[in-house]
Amino acid sequence: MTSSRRLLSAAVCAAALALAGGAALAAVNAKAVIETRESNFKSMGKAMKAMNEGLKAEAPDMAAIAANASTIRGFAPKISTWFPKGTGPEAGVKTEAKAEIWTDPAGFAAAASRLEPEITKLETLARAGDVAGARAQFRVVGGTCKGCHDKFRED
Amino acid sequence: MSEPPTHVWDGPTRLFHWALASLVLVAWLTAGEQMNLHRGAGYAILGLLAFRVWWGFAGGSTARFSQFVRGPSAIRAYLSASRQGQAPEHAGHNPLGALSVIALLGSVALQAGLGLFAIDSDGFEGGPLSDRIDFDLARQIAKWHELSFRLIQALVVLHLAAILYHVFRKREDLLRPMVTGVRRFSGPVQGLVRVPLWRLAVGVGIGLAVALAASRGFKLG
Repeated sequence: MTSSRRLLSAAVCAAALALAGGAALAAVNAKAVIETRESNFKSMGKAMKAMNEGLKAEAPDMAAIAANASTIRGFAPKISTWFPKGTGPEAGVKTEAKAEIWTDPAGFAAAASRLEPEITKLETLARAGDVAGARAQFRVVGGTCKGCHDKFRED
Repeated sequence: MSEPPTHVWDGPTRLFHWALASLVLVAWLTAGEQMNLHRGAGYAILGLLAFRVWWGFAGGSTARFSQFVRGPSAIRAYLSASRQGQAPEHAGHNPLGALSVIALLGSVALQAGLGLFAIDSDGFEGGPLSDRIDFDLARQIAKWHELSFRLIQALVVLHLAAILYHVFRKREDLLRPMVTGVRRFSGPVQGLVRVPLWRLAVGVGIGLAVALAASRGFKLG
């Protein structure tokens, strides 16, 4: 081979390797992103379950309710950042995220952003010791979870 | 057919059959959406199953498990006689159909039992016993609850296919007797032997108690 041909074939090999490596890295990243967000959602689910059960008591422990609400409030504003392009069903990794998240980004952003104000309100009511208010607001929070999931999460 | 109609299924057994089918349908249609109705159907199903177990030991003759759960040799005998068109006419479930009864009752019981402990992904809609276990386990049980419904679907399809086979291929009147309770046989057949009404009262009491207890998460306080 001439030196220019060697250079060309080396460049093609490097490009191919870079492409393959990039794809592999993206696949690894998608898996990590998906696993992290699933873990975060599970933490929120756990907190919801704890509040659900706590609020059923005759005299609920409102400090515990507030603490669980606070946990969810920590996650709420970040939800829309957990879904970068390439982490949907096309990633090849098992995910319950529907493609609609990326085909209807405005709709998803709107649905995801509904949680923060409602969970903040719940935490405030809990800290104020308002049992009836907290019970009602808990149902509203549950509704915001469902509202987003009905459209953007696999059944 | 010269014989007068023979009584085969008593009222409670028939009512149980159609109530269970309806409630399983309601539970299926409301799953994940109208959860209060879904849970209510589940509690009613548990009560019905408890009634059926009682009735299977204390009820009318054709409902008794001892009458139709006969074991592998009886099934083999029934099948070979059937193949030769010589299966004797009989009021009640045949030994092979008995497997279907047990499988359907068992799978529905499993489904309702798992539902008691299940919770949705939002931690928001949970069964009455989901507060006794942690979120991860309740989620796992919810997944099994979804899977075991597939088993019920398969068994129901099999049940319907078997009925159609008996009705159209073997010309056996099976659907009407489960509604009216009576069937015309071609020869004399030992019919249903009923039991006193107090046994029905006990059964209904058991069913109601189980349904109510389930709805309260089996808590006594």
